[in-house]
Amino acid sequence: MLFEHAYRGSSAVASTADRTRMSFAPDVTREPTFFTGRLRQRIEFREAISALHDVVVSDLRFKPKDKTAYKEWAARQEEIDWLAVAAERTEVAAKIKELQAELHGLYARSSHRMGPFNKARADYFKYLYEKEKDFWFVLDPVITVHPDEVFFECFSQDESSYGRLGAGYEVFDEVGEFACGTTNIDYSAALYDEFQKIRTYKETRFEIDPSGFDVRTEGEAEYREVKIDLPDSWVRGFLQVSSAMSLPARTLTLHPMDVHNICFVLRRRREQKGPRAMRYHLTPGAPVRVVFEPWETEVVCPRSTYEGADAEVVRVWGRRRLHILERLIPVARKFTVHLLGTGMPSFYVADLGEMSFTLGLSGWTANDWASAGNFDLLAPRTEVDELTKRRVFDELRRGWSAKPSELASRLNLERSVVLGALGAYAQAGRAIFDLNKNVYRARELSREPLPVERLRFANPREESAARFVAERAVEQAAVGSNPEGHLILSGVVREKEKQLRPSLALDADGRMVRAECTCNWHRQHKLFRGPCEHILALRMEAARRRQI
Amino acid sequence: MKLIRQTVLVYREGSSDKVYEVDLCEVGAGAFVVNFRYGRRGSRLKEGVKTVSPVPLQAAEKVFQDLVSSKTKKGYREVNIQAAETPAKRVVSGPTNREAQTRDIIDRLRGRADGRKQGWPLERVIWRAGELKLREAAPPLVELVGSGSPLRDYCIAWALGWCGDAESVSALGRLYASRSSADFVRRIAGEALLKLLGEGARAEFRLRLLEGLPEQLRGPAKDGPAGLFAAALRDYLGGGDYRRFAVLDALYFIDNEHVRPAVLDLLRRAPFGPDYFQRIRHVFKAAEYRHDAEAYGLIAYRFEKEKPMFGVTYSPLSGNPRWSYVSLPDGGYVREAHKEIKKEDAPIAYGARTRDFLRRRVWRTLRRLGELGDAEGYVRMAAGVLLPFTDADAHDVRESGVFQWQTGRTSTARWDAYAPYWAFNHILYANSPRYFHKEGTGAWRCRPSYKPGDPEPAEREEAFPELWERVPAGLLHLISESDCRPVQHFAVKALRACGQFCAGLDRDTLLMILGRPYEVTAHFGYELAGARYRAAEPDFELVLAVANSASSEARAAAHRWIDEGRELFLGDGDFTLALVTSPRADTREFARRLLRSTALPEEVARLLVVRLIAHLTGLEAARGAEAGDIAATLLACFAQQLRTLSLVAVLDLLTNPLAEVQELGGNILLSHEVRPSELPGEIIISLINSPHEPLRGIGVRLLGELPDESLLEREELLAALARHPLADLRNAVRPVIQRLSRQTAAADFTRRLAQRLLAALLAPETAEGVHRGVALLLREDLKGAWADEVEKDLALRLALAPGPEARELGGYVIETNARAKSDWAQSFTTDEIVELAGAEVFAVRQAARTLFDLLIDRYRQAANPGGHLDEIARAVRLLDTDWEDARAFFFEVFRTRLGAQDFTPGILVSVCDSVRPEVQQLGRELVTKYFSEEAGQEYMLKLSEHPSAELQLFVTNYLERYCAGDPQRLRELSHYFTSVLSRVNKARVAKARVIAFLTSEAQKGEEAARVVAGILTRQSVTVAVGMKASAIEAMLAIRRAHPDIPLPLDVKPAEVRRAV
Repeated sequence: MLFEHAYRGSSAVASTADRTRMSFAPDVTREPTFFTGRLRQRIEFREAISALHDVVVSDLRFKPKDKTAYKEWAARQEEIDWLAVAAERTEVAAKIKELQAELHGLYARSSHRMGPFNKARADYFKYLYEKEKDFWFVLDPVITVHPDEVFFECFSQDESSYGRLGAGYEVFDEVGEFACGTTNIDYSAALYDEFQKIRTYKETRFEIDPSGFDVRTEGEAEYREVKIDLPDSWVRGFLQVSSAMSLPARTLTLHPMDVHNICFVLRRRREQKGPRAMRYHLTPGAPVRVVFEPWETEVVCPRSTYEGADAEVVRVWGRRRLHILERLIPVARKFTVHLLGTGMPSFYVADLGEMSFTLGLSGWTANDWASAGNFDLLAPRTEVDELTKRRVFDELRRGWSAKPSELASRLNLERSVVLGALGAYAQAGRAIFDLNKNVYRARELSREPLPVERLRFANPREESAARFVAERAVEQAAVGSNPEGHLILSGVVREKEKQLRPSLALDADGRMVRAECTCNWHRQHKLFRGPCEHILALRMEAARRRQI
Repeated sequence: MKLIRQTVLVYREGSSDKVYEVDLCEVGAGAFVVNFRYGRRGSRLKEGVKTVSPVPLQAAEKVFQDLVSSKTKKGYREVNIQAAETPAKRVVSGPTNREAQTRDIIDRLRGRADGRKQGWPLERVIWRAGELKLREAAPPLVELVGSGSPLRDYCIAWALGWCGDAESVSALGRLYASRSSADFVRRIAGEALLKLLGEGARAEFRLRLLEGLPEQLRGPAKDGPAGLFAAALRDYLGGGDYRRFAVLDALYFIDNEHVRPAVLDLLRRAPFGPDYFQRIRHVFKAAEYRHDAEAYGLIAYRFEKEKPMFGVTYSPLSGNPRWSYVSLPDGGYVREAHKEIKKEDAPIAYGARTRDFLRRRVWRTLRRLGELGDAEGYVRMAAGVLLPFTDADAHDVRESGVFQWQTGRTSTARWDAYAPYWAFNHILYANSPRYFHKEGTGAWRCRPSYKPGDPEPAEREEAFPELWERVPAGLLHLISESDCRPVQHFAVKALRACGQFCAGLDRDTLLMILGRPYEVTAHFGYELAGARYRAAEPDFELVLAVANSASSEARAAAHRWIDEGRELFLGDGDFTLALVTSPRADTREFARRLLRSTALPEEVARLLVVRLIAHLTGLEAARGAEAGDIAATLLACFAQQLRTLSLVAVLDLLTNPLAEVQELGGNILLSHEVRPSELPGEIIISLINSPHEPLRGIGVRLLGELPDESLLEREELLAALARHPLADLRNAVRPVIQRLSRQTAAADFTRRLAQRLLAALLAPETAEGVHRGVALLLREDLKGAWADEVEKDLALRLALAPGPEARELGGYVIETNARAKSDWAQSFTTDEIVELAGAEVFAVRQAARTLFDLLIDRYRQAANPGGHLDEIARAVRLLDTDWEDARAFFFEVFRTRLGAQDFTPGILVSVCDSVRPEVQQLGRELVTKYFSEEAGQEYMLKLSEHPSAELQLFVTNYLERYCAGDPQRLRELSHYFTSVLSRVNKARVAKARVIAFLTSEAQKGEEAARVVAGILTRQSVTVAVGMKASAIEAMLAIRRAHPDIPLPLDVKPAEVRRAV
């Protein structure tokens, strides 16, 4: 999906010994949105925006080590070994030794001579990397100005973490004119460096540059056009996580040092193999306990009592993403955690006084078929007709943010209808649910509406799997486990007159480790192109019945 | 924190180059710490602390000394700061026992087989009699006519053609005329008649056939010309009726001068498919019978090259299959192929088996001829088969490895370029030590000892060598006609063996041999010509032929002959002309050398020049190299004559389509007696605009020869040339500009030219390399004479322009001008210097360094008391540049050339505020170095807000002195304390110091205790054991001192257990 932005100039921070001026270049093709103000809570803002940066650059996907150099060396070594074997046989070992010594000398000389070149080359690559660092950011953050707060949103490279920094107007003084709306801002690594220089003793002005909207006759050349081709999976991930915010969730409050303790456990040890989940043990009236698999290390949060109604255990994965919160520990007053359920997205809202930082995490770090199970996050929740949806959205846009109940009373609609309409807009990236203030906010993620229908499923197989589940065509036969501790699911999927028998094994992390089906697609491709629709349907059915 | 003592240790061994720095610092009254830094020299050093909490001087000195001596023990040194196979069995010719054979055949023909060789069918005996041309066999053969199948009659007719006489004619005539004879019998009988009939009767026979031709062919066949007949035949056959193709048989019978070309052409091109193929096959048979080598060879060649129309026949065509079919290349198939193929209008013809048979038959016919010792026939037919092959028929050399699992070895088979041709290889390589035919395979392979490309063996390789020797004219025929390398090699090798014949060859034949484009052949010709060469009266034509031959050795010899008798040879104008215009490059070069070292009489030379120029203008476009050589000869040897050549002739040369000829024209102009200023102006411009590079160069050189005054007027043109997209023009104009700019009168010109060129540098590049060229010209040729005129703004624009060349030049300009004029340097603001210092081009950064160096007083309190603070605050950003060289320089400046009075604490803090660790390090170093008591507080408060762990640790050094006993300050710093203590699994020393400090502060009063209690309440939730323990301990102390301060402590009485 191609996103096109045009910026006038670049975002810049002018920093001197006693003042800092942050000026963000907004996307000039979007509706004019601007804001100026002077920062009051400077340190908190610095730490929060740094955390947001950590979200932008976060990429915890598995990256295999580059072993080419070693392989080359090993191949050479092997050759040498074979030479040695042959030498014993043919009694020319001495000669070969001599030659090897010579060869060794040649290698040494060669590497000595090539040394400066290799170093220069490495420096050059490093220079290129540094120079083009901004290419490594997937999408510039989105900034939204609302009557009650300004907020920044971003989504990580690995398509799994969502960050939102909301700053109420109390954070600023000397707030100038502003225009509500959403826009993308030009963002770069240099900008992050400048953020680090914010101090209380430096006056810090913050502006989303209104001059960006001056009409200039001199022409287009002043604008910098940025085209970003985002993978559909990225956009889908963003929508999944941000729309998940509006779903009902268990809420608990953590002391900042509890988050410190969670990070501490994770910094101290590194697991070699799974399960890699983190379990929240929630007992009404008792302190929250967090247990780390596979060591079963337990962190008790003595000052955080769970106030929900039911005792529950929620497993969440991708726990190393929580390190993003580290910088917020000293400045946060508390953290509110929203857990949607095992394997579902989770949200951590840091209370920074007048600011709030929301970290949304998808169910797993890797957003691939082997672990993802959140197929229904983008499923329509309540059927609402198009006209009513529009009315609800227009009403929301009038005030930019509103509680669903307020909207319902203003429009004379059922609360569930309003919720359904807002849910649909959240899935389309046009509204979000603010977990901090519990209101819906109008926020258009992109200039043109996103094609939600196209984004709902990653491929046609997921779509037909969802259809099978909806049509109740899946019969689950058995749930068992094998000696390795894998959960085994098997069942029958009826497709027209055929009956197909998928079965699959899930490991302790809920990852699909083995799967089989009797369908033609599976026979042809095995799992090389992902599981077939029947395997997916079986898994979705099991998830629906809460067996995994 | 104040630095008391510092020791720097270094360690160098092999590739290791490390430093270890130890500092002893005072952090408060009587409180000292020992810090260290270490790492590879020049890289970012790692930092550490030896004393967690400050200690008295004595203890600190001990720690310091211990550390230094432990490192010295480890090797640090203190520095003052600052296998050959047998050939196949030879195919030998000649009869073994001719008489016995004859007798046997006659006996058999007469029906007296006598029990010998029972299995020999009579048809084969008849055939053999024909082959052996046994005259005695004719009468019994005639008797046998009609005694058997049509096949026997066919054999008899065939044999009679060879061994018959006038008496056999009537029998053959009967066979030919009889309506009951089969078609194939009639055809062969006709052929036999043609052989046996006398001249007159044969003509009559043919005339009769001519009369029988269809109406539209008859006239042209009789009266010609050949072209008309060919067209008529094409029309006739194009009618689409398959029956019309039968006319081809008749035409080959007629075979007169009008018909034959059309028939041969048809054999060359006709598709081997239905309709045509049957007739071509008839012609093939007839040609074989007639020993018509040309037609036979052509058809044999087609058999080799044409792919069969179909491959496999499912179920054999022969026998009595109930069904068979073939699939056709276009996707269709023919059912009952065995029946279909026999039809007159068969839809299929020329299958793979047919092709295979016919290919083998070609060689078998030849082999039989050879075995019979028929030298004339064999040589003629073999030459006919060889001649259609050309160099274009060579394939790529092929190699294939077969792994044999039994032995674990790979055997490699190789096929040379002409491997697939059956008869060709048999004729040329039947006795070869390098090629052989492996049974059951289709192509000839190389023997393992030979790789394609190796030198050919010395011995003769062909079949029947003695037959060839008997008819050496055949070899000569091959040499003159064949365009195929292996054939030439064979013919030369065979002909060498015929010494006597070679000695008798005439001059024209020698010229022919020398003219062949094959080196072997030419060399052979040279050997023959060399034997006849006499220096006293050389044969000019022959010498010229040797000098132009394909063999380099021969040419070298000819050059030697000519050199030795140069007087004689160069006296002949035609010979000289031919030598200079030789098609061989080395001969042309030799001619040039020869002429250069020979003085020709003026008249002769002038004539030669005129003739050579006439020759040049007549050359066609493809012979550029030749023209170039001739032009070079002219320029090298006849410069004198060319100087006075008429301008008309020169202009003629300039308009010639050949670039080399045009170049000659240009070169003549360069040294012509008419000077460039007298030339029409457009000639020079048209030369400059020429598409050929050398001509453009000549144009610019001519331009350069114009007088300076007129050149100075053409400033526009010179500037355009200097930034021309073509590199050669840019380079060519450089010397001209250089010369002009050296003149004192041209200062104005230089300045204006430089302005234009600088503008070109700022504009986008029109072609790759233009900016480079322009920059080079500005720096090297104009020698920077323009640089002092450049204004600061232009220089800055250049230095920050997008192109690297412009930047380089900008850096150069700034550097030179700044050094020359101090007020020019003064006009740069610090912000501009910062921008320059971060530039990607070294020269620009260098300029920034120079500027800073020159303007250093601006940043010194002593020299600029009013504004230095503002300037240095801006200059701090210089330290943050991305480039190591610039950074190193500015670090040095900040360290050594600026002093304590030039900095304020605020500025030093802003150095520390950088994100770069090395700049932070410098900041800390400077803070420590220029520490002053009164500013300590400011340092502590400001640096405590720094997000990095190193600076947080650094700040701990100030706590004791500037925060102790001040609850207000403690409150201000509480964020700092929280953030140090919240670091996850990091900053052990800083945490320990902070906790120790807080614990001691809490004891100093209630207000402080409340602040500390707040911090510890928050931090005590930690699960880090050490941290938690010290927090609880501190809280307990607070509880004891101030019990009313709320703390999350719940003191439980110790459980008492008693033994039962």
